[in-house]
Amino acid sequence: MRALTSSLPRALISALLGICLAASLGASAQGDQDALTAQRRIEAAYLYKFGSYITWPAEAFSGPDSPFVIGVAGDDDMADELTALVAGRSMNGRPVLVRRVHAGQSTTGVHLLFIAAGTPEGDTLIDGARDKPTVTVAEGADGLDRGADMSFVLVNDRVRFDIALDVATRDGVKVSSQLLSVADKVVGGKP
Amino acid sequence: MARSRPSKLQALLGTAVLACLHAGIAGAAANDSGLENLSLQELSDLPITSVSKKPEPLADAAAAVYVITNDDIRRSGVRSLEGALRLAPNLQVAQQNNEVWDISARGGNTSLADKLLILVDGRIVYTPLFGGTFWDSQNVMLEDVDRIEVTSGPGGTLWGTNAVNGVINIITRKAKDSQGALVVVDGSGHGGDVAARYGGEAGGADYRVYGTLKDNYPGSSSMGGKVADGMHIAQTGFRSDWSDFTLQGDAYQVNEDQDLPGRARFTGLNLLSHWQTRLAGGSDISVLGYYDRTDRYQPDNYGELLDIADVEFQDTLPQLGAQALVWGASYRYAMDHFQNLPGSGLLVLPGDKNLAWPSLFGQDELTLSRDWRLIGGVRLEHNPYDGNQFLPDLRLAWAFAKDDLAWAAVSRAVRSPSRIEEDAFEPSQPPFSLVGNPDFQSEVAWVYEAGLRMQPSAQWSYSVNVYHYDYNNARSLDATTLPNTPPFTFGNNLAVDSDGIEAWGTYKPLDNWRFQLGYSALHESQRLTSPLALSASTTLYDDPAEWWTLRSDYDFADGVELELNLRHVAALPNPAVPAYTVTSLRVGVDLSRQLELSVIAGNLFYGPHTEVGAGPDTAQFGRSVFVKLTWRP
Repeated sequence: MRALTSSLPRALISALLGICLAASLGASAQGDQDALTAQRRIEAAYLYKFGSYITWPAEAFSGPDSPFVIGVAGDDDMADELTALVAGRSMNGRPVLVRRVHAGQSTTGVHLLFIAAGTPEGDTLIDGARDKPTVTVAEGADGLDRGADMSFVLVNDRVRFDIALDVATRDGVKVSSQLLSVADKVVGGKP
Repeated sequence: MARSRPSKLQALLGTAVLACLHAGIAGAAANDSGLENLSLQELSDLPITSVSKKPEPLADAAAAVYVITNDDIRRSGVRSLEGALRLAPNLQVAQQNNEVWDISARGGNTSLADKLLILVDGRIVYTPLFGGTFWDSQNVMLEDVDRIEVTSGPGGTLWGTNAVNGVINIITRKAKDSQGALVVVDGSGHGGDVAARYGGEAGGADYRVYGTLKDNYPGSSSMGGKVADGMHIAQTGFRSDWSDFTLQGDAYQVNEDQDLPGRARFTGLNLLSHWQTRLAGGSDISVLGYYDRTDRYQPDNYGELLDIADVEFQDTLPQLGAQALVWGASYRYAMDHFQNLPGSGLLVLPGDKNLAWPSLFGQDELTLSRDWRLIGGVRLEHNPYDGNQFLPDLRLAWAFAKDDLAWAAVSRAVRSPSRIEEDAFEPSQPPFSLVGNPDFQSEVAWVYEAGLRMQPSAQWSYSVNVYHYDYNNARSLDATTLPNTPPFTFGNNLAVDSDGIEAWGTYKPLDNWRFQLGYSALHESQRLTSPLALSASTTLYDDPAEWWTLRSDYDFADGVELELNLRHVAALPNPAVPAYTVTSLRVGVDLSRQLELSVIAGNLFYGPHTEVGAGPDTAQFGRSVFVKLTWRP
């Protein structure tokens, strides 16, 4: 499907994907070889869901109608997937934007930042987000050690995530206990 | 067990009841919608393989399939397998009391329902004694159930005889997906449970062991007083998985009150091994073998020691051009030792009987074009009573749009005879009022079905199925010589036509809010085809004209869940049971990462109701509150 649509303008891709891909996991999974792995597809869904379980301070938004921004570094296909996934959706009354983040770009204004494993500038991006209300999400068991707030891990063939508890108290960002309850590991004390 | 005494004939049938006392179609994908529509919990439970590997997605199955997920079970707060089956809109589930549940699909729902095949991880739990399922012995640890695939409609070609009205596949989690400790405690004024499981890794295998204890206190009878249905269940089991080999087993003991003096005692154990591998040529080979022992003893009534051994071989050939072929062979063998007890009203002769059901099947899926598939298959099964039976099945599927599927099927479905129909006498000494019929034949239905599955938007999906069943030799109760004069026997002199519709849908207005609706309607007509057939033959079709369900799941922030469950069942004809609507509410709170508390209030707004039956054994169900704690350290 992706091969078929790769030559079409992006907006059209989004619209098509918004209809088919978002609607159907099964069909796309068994269909043509997708560029995105199953793991990243599940992670994309997680990223979108995380927005509902994390509260950002009002200062993190320039206005009441300004968008909720998810940044994706290191995997443009995942950014496309997520773009399609959020098309037409809102998060707590705000439109949702997906932004590709590349080396050297500022992450200011990004609320949730995904850094794919193996992204060369990954650690720099994590460090750069430290003093901002940006929740960083890495991949791998060492994600939290590298300074990320959250990290996807594979457990028993399932995509789970670890979470650093101090994300809940930092820069006015609040994490719901429901998110903590689903986490595989909560690091930094008991909730 | 199930007893009613309004008339002599019914008493007769009732006594028989007292004494009597396999979908490849369905896919593994437990969800039929986009990933983003899953809850966090569902996402974290989703195996990557179910997304990336082939198992046929639900959206492709040319059959009426409904999947109950682990999360559905958890959210509903149910505490029994039977309760979990209520979540499937294509099943009829009616509880008579703690011990007796009537469960069927597409009609014929009595405690003798004999046309629904239940499998637990591939193990058939259908009893050859009366044809049907002893629900009081079917316990599973619900927390370790991965999913329950409920297919209404014939599944005999793939699963064997007796899957006439449907197949229920209860699939437990792999050991690696149930690691660590888990403890569940729940209780109410009606009983309580304790269940614990531990999963780990040893010697290159993942394993889990579990144990459960359950107490159900005697219920209130619809005629006043108590029902003799107190029961105690103890069960333990294990599962270990190597890369291509699974070994699992369970052992249980059930103690039940009965109307007669003494307590009934049922014990059982089973051991199952399953080997799956892919040959160099690309064939997927599966060899499943199990041994299942059930020992049922009801003082003053009967005893039965039943040993079943079953081996099933299946070969799924690699896709060859437009053809996808699967074939298999199985051999099921039972050693039935029926113990006629003094004082019992029933006699089964011979007491000991060995039974075998060898079987062979093949199915081809032909891809006609991008959107059209034709699936044809046939099973040949030999049963010990009336010999060879053919179970052909032809299905046409049209995927007319992405995620949208229309299908139609025609099948010949067979329910093979049981020991009671062939070998039973009642009372236990002459003159008999009921004698078994060695010439009783398999009940055969030609079944025509069609279905539509649509997903108009990411928020909304639905399925609609219609069916027609045509029996011309269904089970009847006949006089043997003179009309309406004993002794009576079982015959094949009932013609049954049934037509029905099943529909269900999911609507998700918000990410954290999901509605699920289900509606079924059924019309049955029966015609006696012999002057010797008794009109009481039709009492085995005691079905509501319609039933519907509505579930609402709402997730608040901060780990609070609210589920509202409405269930309406129209009146039953015979014995008459008025229509009822049951509302239940569950509030789930995550007290911490490890601890979940649920409070479930049942039957909130209406007074006590009965679900099926009439008589002292029929319980009525009033308001109830129960509390459940789940601890995952």
